[in-house]
Amino acid sequence: MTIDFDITVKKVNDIAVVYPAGYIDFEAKEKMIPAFHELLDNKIKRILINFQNVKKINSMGISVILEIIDEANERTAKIRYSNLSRMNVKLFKMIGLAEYGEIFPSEEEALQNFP
Amino acid sequence: MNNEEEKNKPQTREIRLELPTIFKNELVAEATVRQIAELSGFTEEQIEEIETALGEACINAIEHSRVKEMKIHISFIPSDSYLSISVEDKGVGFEPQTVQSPVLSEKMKSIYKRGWGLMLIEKLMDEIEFDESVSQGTRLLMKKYLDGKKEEIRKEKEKAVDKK
Repeated sequence: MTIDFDITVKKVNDIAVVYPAGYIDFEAKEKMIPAFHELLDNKIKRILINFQNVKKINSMGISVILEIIDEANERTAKIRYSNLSRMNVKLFKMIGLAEYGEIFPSEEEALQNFP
Repeated sequence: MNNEEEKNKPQTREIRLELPTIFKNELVAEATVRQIAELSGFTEEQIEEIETALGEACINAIEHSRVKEMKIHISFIPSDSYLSISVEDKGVGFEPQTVQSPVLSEKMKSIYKRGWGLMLIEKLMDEIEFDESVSQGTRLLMKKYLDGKKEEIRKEKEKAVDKK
């Protein structure tokens, strides 16, 4: 796994699927926040974050994700998560992030019936 | 030999690691503990938990020691029942009793969304405590039991107490 962070986005109809890659720590903020701001500024209301290329998220990375959720809530956008590793699912549940976005095992499942 | 010297004396199965207080060095600690935990017989799930807890402990030491160009001192003591880990810095120290457990709903209302490290360590490891005998900085002690061993040790202790 590379530790350098990167982020790509693709559109599936009017849903933005975001693919963070690498190690999500405080440095990820530099790329993650602007990427999400751009989506929200473009009035995207449904965002799926696919974590298939992320092995590790530390607590500083969690705070970056919380900032994104906060911003999305303010702009009435919904977020879903998919392809989290076992440890990252555990992390999300321990912190309570599942209250702010549903967790799905795969992108296909997450994209279905996304209200 | 005083108390602190006694504690710093290497133990037979002890493995020591010294890392500069630079972010991302927590990954070096995690890779090391992964190998130790694999050799000790932990499950993959437990290894992930230990890695994550140690990573968080290192991040805390790097961030909160507030000392540049210093080291984090990590000690691993594997045994037949558990893995003991200590993470020590020689920084400014802190009072663990002043740290409040974070609540997500409150964090979402606040600008400051950090502060999850200690909570995660507590949930992922079987035992944690801060060694208050250190004269400078912070030493965090953590323990993870191999499957079934915690219960086994608890029962042995109960038997020993009953015999008295």
